[in-house]
Amino acid sequence: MLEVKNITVAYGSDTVVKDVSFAVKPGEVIGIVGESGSGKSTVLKSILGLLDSRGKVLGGEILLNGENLLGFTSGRMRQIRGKEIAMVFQHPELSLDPVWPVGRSFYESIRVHREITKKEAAVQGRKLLEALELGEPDKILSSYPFELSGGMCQRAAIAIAMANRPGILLADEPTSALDVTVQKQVIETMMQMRKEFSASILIVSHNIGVIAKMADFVGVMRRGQMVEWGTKEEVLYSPEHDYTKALIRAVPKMGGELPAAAEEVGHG
Amino acid sequence: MIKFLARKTGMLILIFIGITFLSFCLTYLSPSNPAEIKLNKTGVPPTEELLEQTREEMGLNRPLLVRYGDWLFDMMKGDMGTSIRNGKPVVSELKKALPQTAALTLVSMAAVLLISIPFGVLCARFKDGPFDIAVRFVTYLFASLPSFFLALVFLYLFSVKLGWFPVIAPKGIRGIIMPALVLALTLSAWYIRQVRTIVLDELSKEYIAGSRARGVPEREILFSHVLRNAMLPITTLVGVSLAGMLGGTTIVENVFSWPGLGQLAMEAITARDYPVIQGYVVWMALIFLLVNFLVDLSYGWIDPKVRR
Amino acid sequence: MSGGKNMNRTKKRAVVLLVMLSMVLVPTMAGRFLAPNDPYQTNLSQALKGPSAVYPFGTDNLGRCILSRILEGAAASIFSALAVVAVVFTIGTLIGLTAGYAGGWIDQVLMKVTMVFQAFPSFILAVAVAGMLGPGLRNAMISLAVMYWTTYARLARSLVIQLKEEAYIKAAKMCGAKGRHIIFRHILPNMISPMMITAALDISNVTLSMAGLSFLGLGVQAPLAEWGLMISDGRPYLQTAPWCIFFPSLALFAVVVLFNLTGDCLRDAIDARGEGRADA
Repeated sequence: MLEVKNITVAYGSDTVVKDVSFAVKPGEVIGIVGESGSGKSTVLKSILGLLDSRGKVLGGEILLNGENLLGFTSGRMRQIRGKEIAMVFQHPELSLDPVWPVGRSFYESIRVHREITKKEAAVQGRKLLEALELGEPDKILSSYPFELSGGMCQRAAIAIAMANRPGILLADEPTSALDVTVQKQVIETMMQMRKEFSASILIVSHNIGVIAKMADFVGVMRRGQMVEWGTKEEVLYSPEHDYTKALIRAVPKMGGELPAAAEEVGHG
Repeated sequence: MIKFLARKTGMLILIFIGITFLSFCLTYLSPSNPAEIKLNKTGVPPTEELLEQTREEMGLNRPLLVRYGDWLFDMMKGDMGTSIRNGKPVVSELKKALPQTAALTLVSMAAVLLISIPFGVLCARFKDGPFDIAVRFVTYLFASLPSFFLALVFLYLFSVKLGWFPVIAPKGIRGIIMPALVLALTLSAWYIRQVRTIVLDELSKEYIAGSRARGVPEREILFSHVLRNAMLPITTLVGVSLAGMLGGTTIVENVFSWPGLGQLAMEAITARDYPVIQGYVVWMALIFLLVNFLVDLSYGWIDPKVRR
Repeated sequence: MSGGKNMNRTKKRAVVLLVMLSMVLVPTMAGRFLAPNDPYQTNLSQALKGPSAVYPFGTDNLGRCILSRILEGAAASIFSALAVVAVVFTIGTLIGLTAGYAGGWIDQVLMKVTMVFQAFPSFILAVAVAGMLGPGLRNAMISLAVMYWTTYARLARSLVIQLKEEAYIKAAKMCGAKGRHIIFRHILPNMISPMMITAALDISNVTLSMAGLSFLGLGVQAPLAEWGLMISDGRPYLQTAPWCIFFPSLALFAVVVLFNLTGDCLRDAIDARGEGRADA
């Protein structure tokens, strides 16, 4: 349903993404790994058209159900964002309006795409949070982002992102700012969402453990290029590219093998 | 919140004592002594003996801190002495002029916000565009313009040439327009630049990208997110800039003959009416202090982090 | 790379500004000699005459040449402001240095005093002080100093506290360097740049405040020439002889704009240098 074809992105005169292609099929989880500056976050921003004023997609296509998003007007693009494709960020407490309670952001996310009353939105929010077993839904909805713990806030942010039941969820380093113990909960929340709404997830992270836990397909990016692509088993268990091997070796405890945490979800 | 209030109140009391003490000490700056002025007023030629007697009567021979204590106590009771010029109580003189200055300040501040928020937001929204560059250029020049010159230009244009307003401002709405506008325009130049910086700062924050990713339209991002978040720094700005505005009233009231505290102070200075000058500075400082205290309190209402 | 480019642009701007500044300052400094007429010569038959060949900017109500008076008044208008900045710079630095270096109760007391001064609307405090002292240039300068010193004290204090934490100063202390040595060798030299930027940006404010006090009749007294006073004196003739107000205002405006531009330029130059250092 989402197909990224040969896109090249530049910031000013720096080309940060070169000729990258991949596809996201319904219900799949795609993980892209790479160190910071490899261009993986830029790919996500390009898909939603959220590059800042200096960034520009120079070539390629981004197809959503066969339509090229790059040719969309800003008005049409706005209707895609949050409705067809949603996104969660690295710092949930910063990516939500700091002076709005979580419930209000939830309501806004729905309201900008279809008519809904505040009451209905609250009911839906409560349902969604209950399904996620996040404790007291009403308390979360009336809390400000700074009042929630990092993990709780990120899970609330995921709920907000899923408010319109989008087909695709983009996740930009969603666990990198969180404690290890909390990371697992956030991953579980995302996987739960996938099951609930049969959504696809495109997650980028420098953390191979997280990718290994979640992804069906894995891409490895380095200096703007996709150096390796395949199923999780192919890429992580028998990497071909030297860079992938180096990345896996660099993970502590791994010694060229998948980390224990990855095994756990990968096989269970 | 309670801790926040307690700390603020403690600070308030400390500054209150400081302000009143400093104002009290101001009289020591005057070259002529109060006893002499009083004697001159009654027409008695001041001899050494009479001076000493008057000083004793006025309590001028007691220690500084005792006199300050008495003065402060009287002030709290609403007695700030009598005007040397006309023998009326200082407090009633100040009370008569205060509403004029308060009205002028309020109208000007409202005008400043009405002018500078839209301009500042537009500049930030279209950063480095022709509008932004033009506004930045104009505000730069305006910031160098003495307010009294602007006041005179306004008098010349709107009173002398066009005859829209009388040269001496009448009381009421018609009279307040010109002084308020002059005061507002000079401050707006600085404000527009500040608002522009504040909005640019907000626009660079991550929740803007977050809102865009959720499909919130640009206009809504600007009005319901950016402006709402910019309220806090803008409120701080209002509190801080009030000092400049109160200072500006002195000059503007003078040019437009607006019968406020500034006008009263200038008359008092000409007549060497020290108790009135003292009353003027104390009241202005207390108003400034009070408004900034209210600004601090309003954070609790604007910023959820303080409220909770 | 881009730093070097900026540096060059800043340099060019600095040169242009220096030329403009000297175009304004040199004539005003040499005002007495350049003045076409005697600035104090009254001539009632020539009162309130518009600009002409003899009186390029016209004459005031006493028939005095306005151009000559502007040139003559520059000293009171500009140099008094510069002197005030120099004084508050020195006093503020001393107080801030003492508070920041000594710390403890000395710091507490000095900073509370500073806070109290800042609790006054500054121009009103200046008006009150000038009003108590009585009018006159010297008293106006004193009242401006009372109004402006706090900025420098606070800035100096925060700089000292910041510098005290620097590794090399801690090292010097540990090596047994004397307090005086540390202050004069290590702390003061590193404070100068940021303090200078503030001072440069403040000159225009002080100039405007000085003109404001004079306009209110609290500064230089007649018949001496000073711009704010000239503007104030011209007020009754707003309708009949607007040049009495216009030209002194223009002089004041031009000088304030120039001071502002120079201050900005100096700030950019010092900032650029600071960045360059951080890179290296």
